[in-house]
Amino acid sequence: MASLKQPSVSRGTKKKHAEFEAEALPHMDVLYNFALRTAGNENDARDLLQETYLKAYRFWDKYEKGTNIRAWLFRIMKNSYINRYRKETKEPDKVDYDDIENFYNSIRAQSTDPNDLQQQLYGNLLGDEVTKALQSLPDDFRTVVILCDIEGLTYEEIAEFIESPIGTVRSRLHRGRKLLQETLYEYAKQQGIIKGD
Amino acid sequence: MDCNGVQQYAGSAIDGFLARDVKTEFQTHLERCKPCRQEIALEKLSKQLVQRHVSWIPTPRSIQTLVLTSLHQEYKAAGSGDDSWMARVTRFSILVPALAGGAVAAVFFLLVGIPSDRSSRLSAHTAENDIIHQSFETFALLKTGQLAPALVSSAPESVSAFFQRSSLQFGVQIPYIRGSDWCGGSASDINGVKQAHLLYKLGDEWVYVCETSGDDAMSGTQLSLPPAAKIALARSGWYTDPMHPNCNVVVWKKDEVVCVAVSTMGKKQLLVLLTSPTNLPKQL
Repeated sequence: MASLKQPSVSRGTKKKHAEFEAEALPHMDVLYNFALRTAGNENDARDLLQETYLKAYRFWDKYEKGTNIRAWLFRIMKNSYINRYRKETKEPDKVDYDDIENFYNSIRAQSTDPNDLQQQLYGNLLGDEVTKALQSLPDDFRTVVILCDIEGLTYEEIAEFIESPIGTVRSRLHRGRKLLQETLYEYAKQQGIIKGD
Repeated sequence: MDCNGVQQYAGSAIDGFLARDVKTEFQTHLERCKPCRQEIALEKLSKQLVQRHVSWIPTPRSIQTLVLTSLHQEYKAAGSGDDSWMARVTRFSILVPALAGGAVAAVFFLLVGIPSDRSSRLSAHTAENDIIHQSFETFALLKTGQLAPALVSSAPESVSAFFQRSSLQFGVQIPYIRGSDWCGGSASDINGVKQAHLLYKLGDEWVYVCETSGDDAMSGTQLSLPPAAKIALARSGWYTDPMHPNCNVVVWKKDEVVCVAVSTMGKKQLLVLLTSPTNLPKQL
């Protein structure tokens, strides 16, 4: 009977580790920012990032070489987020688009000049309020807004990340921004930054 | 372009991705439509507010360190104890009894230059203890030369004798694969789970069969099979994975032995070999 050797790191494991580090680690900032804006605080973002990298490492042999690794990592993070924070949510977020349209109609009816609104909101809203409004968006909309407006990804890459057609990206972005605008408008009204009816 | 068209391209215009061929139409409409102008201005404002207030920040050093440390721990754990199934299986030949002379040749061989095959697309059975997953991984090790059968022989009787002399406690099936040049065999015992491994060479094609006692495979605590496979085996004795038509994995159960075959051949060809009346598995 052969004796068992002292355990050592195999060549295969070393190769895998080196490959993983070279391919996956450069995308840490993109993932961290998404985690931070999705989870809403640094502690949860840290946990989500760590979990994402560990899962990716364990399933590295399932990654198809040559495909978009950033999109692969992102999908692992998205699933981890859903498992971690959304387990108890039975129904997906619902948005009442009529409310959003009403908001736009009321803006039109008040003949509010977007330039004035811009000055009022731009100069007076605080970062925390924008962050809070962003986090209040339903997941699907928040995801595309973060990926486009914070991470600066192209529509094509966002489509690959969320595994949906570009038309869906456009549509979610459009609606997400509208919804965000409405939320910010409400904040501004509550704080007296702008007048509303 | 009407108002609906403008809505459709609003995001692209704001993000600077508007195609040249629609740009003129888009701008012409905006010049004459105040509501659309307003709406786009508001959407643009939304983007500007996010960009102004929600900054992109690099990963803090402490979090970078935490991630790297976690990965390093995972790396060390995988390498050392690795007594993950994968590491243990690569040592399984130590359990094989020595064989004497005759037509049997104990061969360590490297299977180099074998093209990537369809079976490498298996992606579903990821559980470490899933027998299908393990069979697939073992097949990959055999193909890359990281694992070698303890013996190969052109005489099926020799392979039968090999398993009779091993410590396996179930009746190993020796499938008769028509046209095979030779067959190789090994036995393993991992945490008390005993398995037989057979490798067949048919010209440029390969067939690997992993066999486990029905008790260990169907209701044991250390191995698992997908529920669909268990149901199919209980009903018909056969199972192929319908979710992954390109994965050449066939599972069957005979005389309380569960066999998993993985091959470079197409699934249909493999099934023909395994199920044709003249080539049904023969029990020892």
